[in-house]
Amino acid sequence: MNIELMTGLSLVVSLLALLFLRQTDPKRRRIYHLPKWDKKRFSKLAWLVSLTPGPILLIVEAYAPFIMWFAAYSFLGWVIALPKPAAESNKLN
Amino acid sequence: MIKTAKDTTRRLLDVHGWSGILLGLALYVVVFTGSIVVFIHEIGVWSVSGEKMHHALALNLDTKIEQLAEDVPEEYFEDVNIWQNAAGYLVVFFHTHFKEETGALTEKGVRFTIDPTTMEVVNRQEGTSAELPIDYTGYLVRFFLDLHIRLHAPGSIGLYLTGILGLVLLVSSISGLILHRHLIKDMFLSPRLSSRLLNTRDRHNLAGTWSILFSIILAFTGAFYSFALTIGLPVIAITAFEGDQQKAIETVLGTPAEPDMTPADFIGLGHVIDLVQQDEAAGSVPFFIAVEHWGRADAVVSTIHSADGVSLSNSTHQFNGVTGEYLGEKPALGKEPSLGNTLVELMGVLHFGWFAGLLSRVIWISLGLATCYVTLTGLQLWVQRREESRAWRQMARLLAIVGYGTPVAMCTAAMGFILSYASYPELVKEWTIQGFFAGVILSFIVGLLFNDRVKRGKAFQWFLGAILIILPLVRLVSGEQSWLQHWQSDNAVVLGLDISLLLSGLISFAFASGLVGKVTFTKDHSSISHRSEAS
Repeated sequence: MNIELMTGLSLVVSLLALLFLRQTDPKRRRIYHLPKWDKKRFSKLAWLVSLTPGPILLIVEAYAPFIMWFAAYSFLGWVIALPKPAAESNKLN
Repeated sequence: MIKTAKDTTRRLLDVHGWSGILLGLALYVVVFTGSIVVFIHEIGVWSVSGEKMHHALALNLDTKIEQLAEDVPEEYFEDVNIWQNAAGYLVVFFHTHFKEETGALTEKGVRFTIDPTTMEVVNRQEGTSAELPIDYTGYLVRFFLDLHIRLHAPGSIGLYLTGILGLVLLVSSISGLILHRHLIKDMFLSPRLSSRLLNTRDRHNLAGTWSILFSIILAFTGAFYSFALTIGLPVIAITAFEGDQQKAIETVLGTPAEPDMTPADFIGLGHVIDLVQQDEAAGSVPFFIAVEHWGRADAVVSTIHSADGVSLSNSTHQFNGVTGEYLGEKPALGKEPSLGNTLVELMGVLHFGWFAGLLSRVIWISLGLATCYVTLTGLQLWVQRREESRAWRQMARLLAIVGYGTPVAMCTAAMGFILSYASYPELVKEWTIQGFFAGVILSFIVGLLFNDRVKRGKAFQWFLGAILIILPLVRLVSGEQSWLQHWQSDNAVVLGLDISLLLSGLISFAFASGLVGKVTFTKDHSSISHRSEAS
């Protein structure tokens, strides 16, 4: 598997887990007056899934994809957290 | 969450804030230019509207180099370096080394520039490193690199300065980590719209939280590169080698082999290039070749290759210059692989982001710009809390001038370079510097014309957008080829950078017009306590 594909797949896994964490984040939902997340949150599992590509890439000795995933993970997290929930953003404006 | 006493928090906040406010603007310039120079090779090719030829070092150069050698004094055969400049011309530099009156080691020799398509010599220049004219094609690259590495300050002063800025970033990152009481709880908290101040604080905290680890890595590796030679080596020499720097250098880089002056036929670069392209060696075409002791029995050829994702750092491979025997890969430090060498290579990987082609560069530029965003929002937060004071309002103005002025001045420097390269190549240095200062002056004019913060921000966005759109058009008009011709001649990098600049300009216009990024606060100003800022 080539470097770009491995990095991309790892980031997709992290992206999905981080999106789930964002959607279920209690403080974000409270501040933006979104309905409380009633279902179980599985936050530890979601964090674990989001970080899992790192050790896997290290185990298969894919060092370049690991470093790129590690660096892009923080940027990805910021980009995911930055947008306001659409409905509440409209209400505030 | 890290619990600290109230007094400790206040002191940390002072360290975090004042270190940022005193050196934050210079730090922003260094980090911003650092983010841009991740694409320095592409910028070099773009600035001269494309390379003459890719991988010209794979050509058979032996006949040409032998011809050139006939026109070179024998003392300059000590070292022969061969590389391609930004425009793709081959540069062959026959030279020797000598000590100046000041004790500094320098090079002296004959430098040829060759058109790789015709193999004709474009020019022949002779002299010491200081006497040789600058390579016109790479001046913009050198200007940007010097801005990042030493802020154009002379000698070691610039390195000390950027090293200190690296330490400031390190201190700010670590103090920010300790100060942010709700680091985990706020990780997905989108910036609130209740007040401008709270919004700025949320934006700073959010970006800071996510980029904190990378900021620490960038700061540490950057400070290492600034201080390694200026302070590190002399300190090691004093402590471990009783002040003998030469012995320290030999221990770090390896002791040179015993010289053997016996004349011997050179194996030829063609043989070396064939061998090094095999998978058992580097498996790629080098971007730099160095021949030590050309025409002697102790001749050694070193080929340097770019990182390609499999090899994370540039690699150096060595060959016997007489027999052509492959001597193996040479570590950057010492003669054998070592932990120290691995750590130094890792520093390079993490600082430069050049290790895996376009993707790693895109990630690194994004993270660099994110660090700029954290720096600017931190400074904004500090001045917004104090904007009742006239002095701090002037600081807010300066913040806008430097924040927008840095990309503006880099673009106008590039315009100066491109215009002079097309018409008066011998004046590239003057025009690039004047272009940079023109951008600085224009930014000050825009900043001083508008007293209102919002209008000033919009004016800068329109101005930056216009400059970003004009720049690729200037390059297109100055260059000899259309976009289609660049695409067809395998110079897509020129097209790619032109489009990136145009898009960046349009994005800036979109922000200026309020099409994107329009934010309305429920109240324009509110005071938040010192304590709440810390959280």
